[in-house]
Amino acid sequence: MTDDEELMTSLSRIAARFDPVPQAVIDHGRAALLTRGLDAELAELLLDSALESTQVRGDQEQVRLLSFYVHDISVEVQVEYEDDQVSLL
Amino acid sequence: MNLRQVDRHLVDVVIREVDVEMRSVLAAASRGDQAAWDAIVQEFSSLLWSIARGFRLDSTDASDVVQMTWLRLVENLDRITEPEALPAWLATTVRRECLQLIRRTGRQRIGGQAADLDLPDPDSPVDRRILLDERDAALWRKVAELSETCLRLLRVLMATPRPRYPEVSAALDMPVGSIGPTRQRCLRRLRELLAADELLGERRTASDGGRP
Repeated sequence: MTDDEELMTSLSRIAARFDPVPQAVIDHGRAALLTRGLDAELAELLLDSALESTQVRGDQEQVRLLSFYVHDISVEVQVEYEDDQVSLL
Repeated sequence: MNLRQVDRHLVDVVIREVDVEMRSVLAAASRGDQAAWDAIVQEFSSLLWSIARGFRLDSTDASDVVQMTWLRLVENLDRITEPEALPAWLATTVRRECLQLIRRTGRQRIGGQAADLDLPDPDSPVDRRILLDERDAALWRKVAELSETCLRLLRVLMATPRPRYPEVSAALDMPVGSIGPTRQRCLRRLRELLAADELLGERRTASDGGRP
């Protein structure tokens, strides 16, 4: 083993002793898997203009407004139908 | 083949086996398998922690950036198809989180105070026992006095299990080819600091009345 290797080995040992990964950091890391798919579950449809609107004729059919709520953020999606194409704004 | 090459070869063989295992662990974790995820967290927590501490983040900030990194991995589990890329991906992600936190809070302390690495409190009985091994404590203090580059490099190399060069490269944003020479230079610098410290210690002892 070279001198550098020896010193590096000592340093690893000392770091594990003086500055180990706190158990809480490992526990929180493990719990992070629970957030998998959480956003999709929490994204809640608050408003669908197609359901709200009583005017179902004319332009109202071409533009649809959707509001989602995820955590503290609300997301508005405007869907436009033109011929066979759908565009999102 | 010299000893170092033999060593390297053995390491490569082990790495291939680890990669095969990591592939199935990653696949399981992305299906939501908690045990597989725990294995990943266990394997790489030390790497992430070491990188954060190399940026001189305190315990709280280091905990935050490590946690952010795990959350990002959870979001991206399906996208990491090559298991050998995972450690470098983690290293890059935690480095970016560290830089972002430092930019946001200006919290990085420049200058390398020993306290930045949370040296044991000499008044606590447990820590007093630790400090009995004075050479270890002295070495640890000197690590904190290194330049930013040297501290970051040596601190990440102290992770357990010992990181490979691709993730070290990702952690420091440094070409793989520069790691060896930089490591050599930083260890030399560390020895110099230690030698200067010991010399000073001897002088102090001498002025105290020449006790050995």
